[in-house]
Amino acid sequence: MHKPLSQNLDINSPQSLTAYQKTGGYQGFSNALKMQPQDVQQQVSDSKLKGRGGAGFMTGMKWSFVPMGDGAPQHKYLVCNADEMEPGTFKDRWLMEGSPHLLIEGMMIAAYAIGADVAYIFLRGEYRLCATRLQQAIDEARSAGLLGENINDSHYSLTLHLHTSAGRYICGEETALINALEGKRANPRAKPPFPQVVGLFGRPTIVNNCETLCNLPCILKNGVDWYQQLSSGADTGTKIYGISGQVKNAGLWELPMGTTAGEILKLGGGMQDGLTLRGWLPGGASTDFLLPEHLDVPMEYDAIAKAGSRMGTGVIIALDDKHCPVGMVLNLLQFFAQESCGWCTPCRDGLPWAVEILTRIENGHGTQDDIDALLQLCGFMWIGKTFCALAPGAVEPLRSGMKYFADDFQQHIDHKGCPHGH
Amino acid sequence: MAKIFIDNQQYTVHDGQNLLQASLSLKLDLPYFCWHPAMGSVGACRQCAMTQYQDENDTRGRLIVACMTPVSEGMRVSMQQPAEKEFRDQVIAALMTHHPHDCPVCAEGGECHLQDMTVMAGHHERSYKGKKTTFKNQNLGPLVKHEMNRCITCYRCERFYKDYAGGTDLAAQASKNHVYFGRQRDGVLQSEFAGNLVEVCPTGVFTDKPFGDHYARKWDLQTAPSVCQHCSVGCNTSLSERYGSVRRVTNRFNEHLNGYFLCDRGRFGFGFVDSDLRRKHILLKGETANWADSGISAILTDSAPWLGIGSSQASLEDNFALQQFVGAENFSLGLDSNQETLLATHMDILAQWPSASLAEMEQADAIIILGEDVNNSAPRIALSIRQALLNNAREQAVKLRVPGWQDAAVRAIAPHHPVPLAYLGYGQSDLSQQATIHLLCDDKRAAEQGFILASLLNEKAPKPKSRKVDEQTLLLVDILKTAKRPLIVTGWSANNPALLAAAANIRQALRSIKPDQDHSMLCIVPPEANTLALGLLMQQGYLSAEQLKTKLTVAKTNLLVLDHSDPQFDKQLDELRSNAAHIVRLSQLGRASKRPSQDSHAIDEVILPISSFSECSGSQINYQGLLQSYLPATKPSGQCLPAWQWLVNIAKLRQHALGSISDLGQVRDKISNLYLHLAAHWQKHHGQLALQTQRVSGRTAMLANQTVHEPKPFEEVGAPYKHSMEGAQAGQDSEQPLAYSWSPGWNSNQSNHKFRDEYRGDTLTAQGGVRCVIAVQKNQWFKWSPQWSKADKAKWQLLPLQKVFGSDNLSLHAFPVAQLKVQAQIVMRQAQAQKLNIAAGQLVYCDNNATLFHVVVDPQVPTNSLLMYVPADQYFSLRYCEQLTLATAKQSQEYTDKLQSALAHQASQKQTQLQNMLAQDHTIPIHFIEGVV
Repeated sequence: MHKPLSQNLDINSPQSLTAYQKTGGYQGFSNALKMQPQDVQQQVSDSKLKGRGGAGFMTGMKWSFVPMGDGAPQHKYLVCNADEMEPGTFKDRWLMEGSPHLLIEGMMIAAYAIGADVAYIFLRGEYRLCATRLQQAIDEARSAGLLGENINDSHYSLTLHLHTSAGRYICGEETALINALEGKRANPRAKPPFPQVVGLFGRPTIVNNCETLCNLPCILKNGVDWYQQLSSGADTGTKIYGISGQVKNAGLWELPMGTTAGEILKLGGGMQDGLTLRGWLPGGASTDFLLPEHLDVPMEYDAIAKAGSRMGTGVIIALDDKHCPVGMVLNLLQFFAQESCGWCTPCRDGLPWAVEILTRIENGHGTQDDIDALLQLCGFMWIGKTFCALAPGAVEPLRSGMKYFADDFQQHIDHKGCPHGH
Repeated sequence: MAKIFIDNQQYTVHDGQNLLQASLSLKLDLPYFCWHPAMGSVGACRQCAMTQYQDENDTRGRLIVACMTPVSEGMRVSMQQPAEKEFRDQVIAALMTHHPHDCPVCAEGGECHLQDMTVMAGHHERSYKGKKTTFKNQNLGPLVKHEMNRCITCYRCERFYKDYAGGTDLAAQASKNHVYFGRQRDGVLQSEFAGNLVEVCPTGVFTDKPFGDHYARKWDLQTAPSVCQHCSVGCNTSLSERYGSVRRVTNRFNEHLNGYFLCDRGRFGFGFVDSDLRRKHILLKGETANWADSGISAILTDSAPWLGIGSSQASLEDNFALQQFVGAENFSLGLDSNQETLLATHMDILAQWPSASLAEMEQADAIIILGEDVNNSAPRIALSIRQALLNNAREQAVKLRVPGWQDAAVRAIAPHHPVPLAYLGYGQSDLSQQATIHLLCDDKRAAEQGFILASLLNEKAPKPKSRKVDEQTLLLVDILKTAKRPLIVTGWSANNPALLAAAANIRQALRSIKPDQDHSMLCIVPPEANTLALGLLMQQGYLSAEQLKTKLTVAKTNLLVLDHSDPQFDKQLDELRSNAAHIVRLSQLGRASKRPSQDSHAIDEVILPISSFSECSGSQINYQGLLQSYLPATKPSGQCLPAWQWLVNIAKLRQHALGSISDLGQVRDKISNLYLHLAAHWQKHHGQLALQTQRVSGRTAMLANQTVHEPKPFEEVGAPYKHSMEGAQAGQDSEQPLAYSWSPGWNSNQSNHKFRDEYRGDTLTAQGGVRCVIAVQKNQWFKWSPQWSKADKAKWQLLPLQKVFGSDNLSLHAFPVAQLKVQAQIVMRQAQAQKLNIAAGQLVYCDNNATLFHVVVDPQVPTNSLLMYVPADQYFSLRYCEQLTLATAKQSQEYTDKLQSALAHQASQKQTQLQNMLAQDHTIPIHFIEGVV
């Protein structure tokens, strides 16, 4: 099995520049430099690479909206969204700590493809080890002439900055990230205009997830056919999947796109002794619950959507039968309420309202009308009602939790307490 | 135009707007919070949700927010679809989860947009069971009160204060439902537009603090359409009264001038009408007297010739009546020689170039400011210029298919599409800091560069004496040539007519470049509210300041004076006093004096107390030469009469023709006879404007403790308004000005949109209305006058600075402004300070003058200069200075003690005044006016 992203990943001692190059690193970028930027874009489109940040949007298509050519604006930006804060998701951290040059090479390819001359890594501030290792790698690359003016005599120049975020989940939303980079409050922006046209500092900008960018070196090094053969399902390439919760071996594995959750659970050693799986979130806190009966659905964007959820980041959270689903939903909603940026009414005022109700239900002070109130809030905060996707993401575990674990909610109300003894 | 369908009803609406604007202009009741007509859309509150359908077969539709949705041909939308209607109710319910039950004690109640939208949504039952979040409030200074618990996080305050007005000390802080709007810590809000927060905030977070101290509900207020008295813009205001005292000023929408916003000097400066110094009684040699007293009539019928001195603080009718009474050749303007030159030049320029309105200035795509600190001399103009700076970004946005009302996107684009702003002058201000081209210079150099610029644009323009061309001027040549709507701004602050001439020449040059497509604009800022009225009257001929002095020395002469609250005027009058036989002064405000019994101005004078602008009808002419009129919110007190009325009464005594006038209408008729084009401004109305609302309470009870009789409400003869609820309610008659904005279900100022499209007939303030000077193309250049190149050999020239709180005398008599008054300052560069061994904050004297100045260190000071600011209630005449002397420790201490005690005295006076006003609410003066013709 090919593991292009993690085959040389070493969490304890990531490869230096020379070691990385020895194992084929920066070959992809070298290939890209020999091509026209539009051709690099075409290759990435052909590879059918989809964004790994959770939305699953075609990367090549996203790039295609950037104005190119002589008439294009003078400066363009490439930004790596390394603000990994989705609860249950830790794949980008693994990639950056274990293989910082992989990300840098990916960014260089992307920047070249869209004609960007400046790139930023927007890194979650708490990822301090990532920051040290990335900065080191950037410095190495610069010293080696892989960053800066006239890289490899190609007339292409690229400056790469590492920016550590001052905090907040909403910065993972690309337009809020752009505002934060500009030194403004991290509220999202309305689209249109899209960042590809008016982005960072008013200039064309592409924001890509860290893992997405890490896929680019192998695509440019080995070609489209090779990349597509990595998987046999609807989506191409490999994916960093993972699982956490009360499993024997929580962790991350690079696997072909389309691996099932059941297989990932198996790699995780299954549930701990004495526990049974009750439900699972496929890709972080902001995805709908699925049940054990869905374990053999391939972890692909469309397949999971058809099953009634979202693949999201592909790092699973497992709920066992001894943990209270109401408590879990409350925990997640507390996170989202805390992380609301405060811009739009449904999210800012709806999420704390949901937390208020869930808290009372969990503590045994819930009443029947609270169920209706929660369902109403789910409708109130859905897509289109809010300014960005944070609140709809919060609604996903809430509405699916209420659907699949309705009995648990009811028991809290009927018995005025948590049946799991919390 | 676009054809759209709202709930299956077809409408035709203007292209380019958003669906919320379109719905409101169709007078549909779509609720909203965060959208503001002047600040555009951001889509934050989600209150304006509607349903949009793909086509006529789509019955489900999807939710859109109207403020972010452009209208498009054939679009099908709904306001009534149950899902979105329910969503709008849910938004209100969510906003209400933490909103305190403050309505009965909240100043916003009765004009609260949140109340209105809550009622409109039908929300009446609370289902949230949790506790409410509360916040700590801040002390933001004497003007604006802070009550954060009421906040619905619409972000309007931050967007106005920071983005629109350029303020730097108020912003959104924290996040989620703890978002907090305030300063970093307690302190006076620094922006001169902070008071607009009161009207921009849709709830009671920001309220009018002085108004709150002596409060009345909006429906109880008697509100008159008025015009601001505190600078030459003449912003339209609504002046509100209750129980006989004026309570507050709010914005009165005028789409050509102030729009939706006022500056704080105008909003909070009206309290001078209640000053302890207000003249209420006739005084003869310092003692109260009556009109019938023989001493009075003896003086008034004195046979020696009478000369008149007009005032730019008095109305057009007052000045005109005086001019008629003494004769144009005996009518002095109350200005010094230099100001007379400035006025003549200004009128000359107006006769060639119509001056731009504020709305027009907001369209500029290149701006040059010559030697005028607009932020301090006419703040409302500076606010409009600031909006123009986004025009290139708006144009670019449209190219990117982003509507101009999508405010955040326009601001994101703005840094790469700046509008060139050239600032040639001195001092620090928002506009000087925004300038893309900056030349630090004094007024003379600014004027020279202006002349040079004009000559570079058109070689026929006269050049000044050979002078170096600054590179900034060269840059401006191409900028002005390519700009489509360039704006030139200058003013009188530097007292230099050369600046006006330079601006006119640039204007002339720009026209000559594109005679068929000339959209360039000119704006000249004079001082005071009514200086140009004197300019209009001077066309009949006038007595110059020099001639006045001479005439007084030649023969026994009497002076009839329209008082001008200004220490410079007092000085001038003192110089004339010894040669005058009698001085009769028509006066509004006395003078503060340490020894009140020895108010020397009262000796050998007759003082006739005049009504303030809040107590009588009048007209004034703004910087554009636009005639505007105001109505009284309350009645005059004591023996006060309008000045023109006193003059008519004096005329009667002397059997002068003016004595035949029986009402203000006849004064205006006489003015119209001389200036035919003004007649249209004072059209006769059918019917009258009711200044009280239909819900005003206590009408019969409020005087019952004094008398059971109901006195007739005060009214001026033949006036088109009533101090009662009788007559046309505000907004019902499109011929009448909109005294206050109210519509069923829309109790707040947001109701303004109900009057925007139909409402055109503001005969008192119509922009399309009447300019006092009709511009006629003359193609004349101003020549450079040699005296403009003269420089004194003194060490430093003192360049005058203005301050919003301090440079207008009348407003300094209002407590809120007095509390913020800036003390005298001298500004110098760091190098100068070091050389003189002076530090910022110390006190210095200028040569042998007794005024003490606070030292301020700032780089924006031209060479060989110091910047000098003196409050408008202090006299200081020096233009040059040889030496600065540091105050001794003893002198500094004395000064500080004096200042502290003055501030303490002021605070206690304010308290006393407040107590008196509260007491007066129970004994409202019943006024029977003496001497009404």
